[in-house]
Amino acid sequence: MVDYDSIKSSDIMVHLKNLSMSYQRGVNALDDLSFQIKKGDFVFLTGPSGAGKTTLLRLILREVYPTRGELLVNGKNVPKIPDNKVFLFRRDIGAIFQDYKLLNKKTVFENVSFVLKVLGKPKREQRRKTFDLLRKVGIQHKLHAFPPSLSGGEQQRVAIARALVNSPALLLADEPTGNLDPDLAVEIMKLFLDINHSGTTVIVATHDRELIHMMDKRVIALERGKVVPWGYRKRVFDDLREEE
Amino acid sequence: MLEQLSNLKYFIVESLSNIWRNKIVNLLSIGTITISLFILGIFFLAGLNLSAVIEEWVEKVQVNIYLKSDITQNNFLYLKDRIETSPEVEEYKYISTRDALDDFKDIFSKYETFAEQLGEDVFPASFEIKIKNEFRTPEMIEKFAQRFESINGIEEIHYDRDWIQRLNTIVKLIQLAALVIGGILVLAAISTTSNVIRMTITSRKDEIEIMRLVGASNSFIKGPFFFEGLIQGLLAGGFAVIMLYLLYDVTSNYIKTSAGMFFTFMDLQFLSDIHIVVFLIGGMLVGTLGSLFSLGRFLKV
Ligand SMILES: Nc1ncnc2c1ncn2[C@@H]1O[C@H](COP(=O)(O)OP(=O)(O)O)[C@@H](O)[C@H]1O
Ligand SMILES: [Mg+2]
Repeated sequence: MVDYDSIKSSDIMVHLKNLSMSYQRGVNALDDLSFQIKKGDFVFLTGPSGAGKTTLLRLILREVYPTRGELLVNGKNVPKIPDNKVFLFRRDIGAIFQDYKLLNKKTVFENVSFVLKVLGKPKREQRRKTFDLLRKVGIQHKLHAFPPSLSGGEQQRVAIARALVNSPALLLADEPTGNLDPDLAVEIMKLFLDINHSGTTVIVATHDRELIHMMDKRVIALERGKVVPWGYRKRVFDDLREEE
Repeated sequence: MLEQLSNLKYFIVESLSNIWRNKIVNLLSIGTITISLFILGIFFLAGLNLSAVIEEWVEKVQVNIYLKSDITQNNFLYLKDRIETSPEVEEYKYISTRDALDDFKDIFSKYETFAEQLGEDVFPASFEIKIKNEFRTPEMIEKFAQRFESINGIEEIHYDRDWIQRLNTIVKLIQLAALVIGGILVLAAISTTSNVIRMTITSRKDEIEIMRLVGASNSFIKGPFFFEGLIQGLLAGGFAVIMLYLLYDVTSNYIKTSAGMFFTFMDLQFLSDIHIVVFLIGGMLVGTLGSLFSLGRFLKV
């Protein structure tokens, strides 16, 4: 038996035990994962395409349900959160989606301020925080543009601003630098470090090995839904190199 | 409280911009609500005006008892006594042959000599009886009249039973038709609105999903759709009132000019202010019900 209460009250932000998830019967997208992420941690989630990174982030955000195992996030037993309480749970999480998920009929400014509007924050606070973050991600010159008119990298930055604007307890970033120039990627990582220093737990899913090396943070490596030792792939990679 | 107000503003602005973005489908539901309210309104106005006419006529209802010229003194006094003691009678007037002749001469002064030639027989003496308000139903008037039939010396008892009854039946039929047709139309309007809202919800599935993911509550997501129906209904109510007024204006002008002397006493009535408010609220209800149906079925938690 798990002692849920001790996990809930502890300094654990994400707790997984024997967690499995399959979209189709018999095929596990995530297979028997067990690990914990402490509050205030900065963690990279890596692995090749199809490893299950996105799936894990979706599980954490309660977009999908586990097929088996335990999943506790921010003190909540995620699969057990009542449907009509999920929105409250999500308010503590900032998520950057691989496909951005911006509201195409709202401006850049509205996309970001929307998060604060939903929370019922006063107009002035909405404006101040939104401007602040749009400046930090370097897109303050496109306030009134609509997402479809932006480049991939610009949309990605709007998505980042939206995820951070509410200073969430947990940040989930799915390939947040996938469409950014290296310089800009570094800027965004600095932003993540800043928010991490102010207390936000950060989970960045990426297959960008350079980014991971540069940051020197904890790495959880996935392959075909299983946790594998970090460096394993690197070795295989190097072996292949040597054979060339 | 302030939060609720700012949400309210967001809901209304959002739903207005939705309506504007999907003008065509929204016009469809606004149109059906308008038409159903308009037709309902026609029935209502017809009933209203007919009732007014009937009331006016019923006000004048009187029973005329015409006397034979050879009625005996005894029978005359007996009849007079019976009239006086009947509980239904508000007031009565005896009109002698002379009076009747004078009346005729007053009205048709041109034919004065003609009337003299006709002689007094043509103008029988009569009792004009006004019935008390509480007895002015067709049934009670008939019962009252029947009590006098057996008295000797009465030529004829005349009262306006048939057309009162007929008019009452017509009004009842109109009310029934209004109920049935109006009910069907209102249901159709609710279903159209609900379908239009469903289309908007479906076309915005992705947006709704994103709002969910960034922590929007269910009521925050539903708010704009709710107001979309409400505003559609309110607009439709307004349009229906305007159309009804135009119809009323045309009709009453037509009656005044062409029907001339016969109906001049008949001033058509339009909806009162309270009726108009009820109409607008009714439209709002129809629209709101439509959106609630869709929200219940397609925007479950
Ligand atoms: N919606 C889905 N339906 C079915 N299978 C899916 C779905 N999403 C992902 N998968 C499968 O789950 C596995 C993990 O995918 P994903 O989590 O997207 O990996 P990653 O983000 O690491 O590239 C893959 O095999 C992928 O094909
Ligand atoms: Mg992915």
